[in-house]
Amino acid sequence: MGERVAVIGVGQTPGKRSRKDVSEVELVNEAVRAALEDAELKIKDIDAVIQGNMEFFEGTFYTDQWLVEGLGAYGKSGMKVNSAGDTGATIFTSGVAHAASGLFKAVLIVGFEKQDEGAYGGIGMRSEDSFFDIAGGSGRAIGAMWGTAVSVLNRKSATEELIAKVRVKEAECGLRNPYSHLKLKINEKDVLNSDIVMWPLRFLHICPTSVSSCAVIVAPEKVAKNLSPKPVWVKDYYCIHSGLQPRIGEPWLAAGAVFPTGPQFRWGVEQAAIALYKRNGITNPRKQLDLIESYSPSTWHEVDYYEAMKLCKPGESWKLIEEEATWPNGDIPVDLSGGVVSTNAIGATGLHRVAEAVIQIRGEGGERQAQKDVNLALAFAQGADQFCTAALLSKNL
Amino acid sequence: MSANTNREDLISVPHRITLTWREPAGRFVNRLFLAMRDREELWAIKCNSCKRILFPPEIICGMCKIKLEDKEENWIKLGNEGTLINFYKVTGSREVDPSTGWHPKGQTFNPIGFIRPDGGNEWTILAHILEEEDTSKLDAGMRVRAVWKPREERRGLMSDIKFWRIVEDKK
Repeated sequence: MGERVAVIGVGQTPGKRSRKDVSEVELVNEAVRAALEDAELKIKDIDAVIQGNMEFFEGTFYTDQWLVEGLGAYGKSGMKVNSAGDTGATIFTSGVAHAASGLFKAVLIVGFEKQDEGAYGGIGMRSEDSFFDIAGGSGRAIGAMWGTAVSVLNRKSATEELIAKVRVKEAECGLRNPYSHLKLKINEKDVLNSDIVMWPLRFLHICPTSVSSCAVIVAPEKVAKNLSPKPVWVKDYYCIHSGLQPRIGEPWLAAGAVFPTGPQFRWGVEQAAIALYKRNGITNPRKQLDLIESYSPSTWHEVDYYEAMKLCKPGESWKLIEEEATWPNGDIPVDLSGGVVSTNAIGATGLHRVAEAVIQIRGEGGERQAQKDVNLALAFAQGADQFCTAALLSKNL
Repeated sequence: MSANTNREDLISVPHRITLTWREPAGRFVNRLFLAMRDREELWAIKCNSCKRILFPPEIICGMCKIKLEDKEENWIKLGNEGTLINFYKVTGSREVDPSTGWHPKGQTFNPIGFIRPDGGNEWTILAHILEEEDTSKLDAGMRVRAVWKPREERRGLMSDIKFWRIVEDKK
């Protein structure tokens, strides 16, 4: 990186299924104001605004135009980014790159999704190579979850019972996070008995459809040190386009279960983790990392990523689960926010990962705070456009 | 609007978009679709560098990042029979019809199979509808055969194949 960059402010709105009380402008403005307050800045201190969402999921296009007042972006530099599920992470690294360029004092990054307005079904279904569409009802994200679930079972990485155990951990974390959308009081039996959507994928394994906005402010070193009493440093980030696109129509995300490269999301996470670890001297991630916020749209993904992130040997996720190593009091806590299965406001989701990792590093997580000191955290997202973007965040420069 | 506005007084403005559009199939897929329409044939293309056999045919190998030449020796004719590699069935009512974006109440979908037509390799995967609705009668490794629509109904689309039928064991 050119200039070293720190996160100096985070803000988020509580996840909900519906926010009929606010427009999109009002929703993003809540997050913007929260981040500014957290950073103890005014909007005049911001000189670039980066924003993103899954454009068209609200049925609107040009969100950068319509939301300018709520973002405080009028007259400022910036850009709009849409990289599907990865959007929240892509806007973060775009903001970091802006700050690292040395051209800006403070960069505001805002992601949101207001899925209660939603045209997701119609729009989502048409975002791929549609003349091979033949397969009814599989679809998209659900197909990707199925592919991952089948792969986890086939590799004997975990059993359905162990997946249920992880799901209960995620739900308990969600209960402790005031910003979590789902507040589920469930036990393993509830998970094992929940409706099958596509075997072995069950309803309770899957993330919800959420409304939320998240905002993060980043600044280059000299500004951050002056402005912020609690900067969290962006040690490094890595982005990779991670999936070949078998043009087989709608079920292409599910095809990871049968393709030699395996689930497409997984490959991207693995490659990003390998690259980041190599560049930052991480040879034992389970020991050297203190916390992970993962983009796991289903519980199966979280378990699949234990191996992709090299927290254990291939096929040994079950050991981590049995040891509860990824629990709040474990040695490598994962998704103490409750994860994506507790809140998924897509354009905000990747940024929530960063914000929650920052909160943990600052030690401000309240009931959801990890029991151990968090000095180095990994936050990542990936999406159906096959980008995976991962960031290493650190208490120390 | 005060904070205690009644829920029924929160106004949402309704919208509806209806879209129609057409996508050119492209040179390689055009050749595939014509062969499907006119001769009930499936064609794939081979990358001579990594040896992947790609269905549908692509003009570029994404892994090798090289152009795949439109030469007869690079085209592979796949069989009308193949092996079922895996399958899934949506049993919840939580997904939508890809042709409309909607999921009318009560609509069900047949299982979807990942099929490797004969002549393909591990990279050759075709996703299509299975005739058998009962997943307990399906197994990975089963042989399946394409059932084509009659010529007058075939238009050069994936749906020219009606579905894939289990090939009964002759033994």
